[in-house]
Amino acid sequence: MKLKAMYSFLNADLQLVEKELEAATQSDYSLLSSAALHLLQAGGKRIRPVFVLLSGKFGEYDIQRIKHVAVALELIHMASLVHDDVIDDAEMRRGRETIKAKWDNRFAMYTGDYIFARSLEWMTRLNNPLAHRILARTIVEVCRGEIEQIKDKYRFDQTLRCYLRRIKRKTALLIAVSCQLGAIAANAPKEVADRLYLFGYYVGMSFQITDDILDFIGTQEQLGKPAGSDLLQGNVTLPVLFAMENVHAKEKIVRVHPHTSADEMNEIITLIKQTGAIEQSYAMSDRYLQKAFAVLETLPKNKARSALYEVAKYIGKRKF
Amino acid sequence: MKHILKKMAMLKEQIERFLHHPYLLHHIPMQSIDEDRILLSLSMLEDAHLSSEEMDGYVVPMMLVQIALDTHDEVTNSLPHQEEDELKTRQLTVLAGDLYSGLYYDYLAKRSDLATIHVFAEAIKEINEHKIRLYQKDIGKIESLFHSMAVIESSLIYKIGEHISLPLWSKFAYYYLLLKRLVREKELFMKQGTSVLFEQMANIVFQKNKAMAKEQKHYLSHICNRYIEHCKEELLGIELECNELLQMRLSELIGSFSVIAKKTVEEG
Repeated sequence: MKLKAMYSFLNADLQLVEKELEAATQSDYSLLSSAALHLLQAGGKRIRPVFVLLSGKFGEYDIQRIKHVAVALELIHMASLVHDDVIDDAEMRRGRETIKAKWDNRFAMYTGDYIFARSLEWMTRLNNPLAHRILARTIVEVCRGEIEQIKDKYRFDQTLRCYLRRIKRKTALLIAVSCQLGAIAANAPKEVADRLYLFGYYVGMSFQITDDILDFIGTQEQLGKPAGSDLLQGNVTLPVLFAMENVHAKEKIVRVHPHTSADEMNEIITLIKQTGAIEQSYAMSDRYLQKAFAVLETLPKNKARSALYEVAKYIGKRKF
Repeated sequence: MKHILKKMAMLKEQIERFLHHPYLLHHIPMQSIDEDRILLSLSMLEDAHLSSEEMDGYVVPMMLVQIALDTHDEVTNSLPHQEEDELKTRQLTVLAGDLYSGLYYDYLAKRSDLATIHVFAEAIKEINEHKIRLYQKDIGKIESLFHSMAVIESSLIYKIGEHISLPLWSKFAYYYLLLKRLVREKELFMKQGTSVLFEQMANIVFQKNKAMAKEQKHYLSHICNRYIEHCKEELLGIELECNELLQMRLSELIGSFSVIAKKTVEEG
């Protein structure tokens, strides 16, 4: 089943969110509007708005109120992508030129800051201090996580715990909070909002682990970058950690540096695959997914719960 | 005066605590905290008879936003030596700015102050619109150029002034911070032969960006002086109860302009 088909009952509301996103990124200055439109048209799965709306279905669902959270979270995600492309010096994203490639780094910084400001403007339309406290704390945590990621680059002696904490901050938190805030915006009971947070957290962890696996098993065409790019950039991900349990593989991996040749990288990727690290990583991703499903079981049975199940399964098990 | 100096020092300490991040501080230079902005905003808030805690609630997040935006101005387009350390510095500069932005939101969210979150978000939006216009050299008129500079410098305080219904203070901040920026730009131009403002003026007036003849430079200096003079007149015409310290700073600023203007005349 295609992803969109899993929540087709939200189509009209998602279209409304899309329109609001267009409105939110409009500026008095046309060049800035074009840059933002360039980003919007790059698409993306709009997974955060989907989680917000589906979670809102567990309370008093009012799209006119919930849409503010959905728009704000997608804008925060967009702003962070614009800045991430500067950090990663990335030229392409989803088959399109990045803002920093089409213009330059400084332009990307200002565009990202503009979009972030718009997201907070939109979010303040929701008059709920608790929702703001949660979102603000999350944004700070995500930033601290990204700084940690830079600190941990090429640090091959890091622990599994360190990796898990990093991906929590990098990916899982924003998905968890999308679910939690959707519920809060719909005035769902606290217990339900907390469970949805947990569900989002587990799905986010599974999502990021899968992402880290795909970096090794995808082709350049599928990934839009050479396989093993994460490792080449010094990011020690789960497959690498598992592979380093093998002494021979570890010897090779710890020698990776920014200028390691493509041939050497290919050799290391093959070695990582031979250690069984990919299968071990998939197993861990699946364990998180199973935990997410278990949380869902504790929530009231409805159409949204079935959709969350399907979406979680899709993004946890996606091939690319 | 003692009282305001003490308050400024306390605020500075609070802000520094927020900025303290050992790893970041080890790799990127700490942004300086502009005491003039603290003084200006405090003077305005005192005039609104706000409590000390209420003042903190505006000044601390405002300075965090300012530092976040200033930090992002430091992000480079190219790496002079193509070295790993330069790349790391750039990456951390991006993230430091993002973190400080997040901290402003977190500070106000903890106080449940959604109105001020909105005020600053509007200001950040406006500042970045004008920064891009300026950066892209997409400004067609000299007046618009000076207005963009004023917005970039003053929008945060300006919008607080509007929010607490002190429009005269907004106007004062607009011209005070523009004046400060113009004096800085003029000094840079005199020392290094170029500055963002003068490059932009050359682009608008002579439709060029390359080396200018002496007469052309002099002409641009003259335009800048005229605007500095205009700011001065506006500031002196605004009837506000300024505290002693702010009055002193204003006199210093105007005085430093007189020195520059004299030098311009001497250098012909």
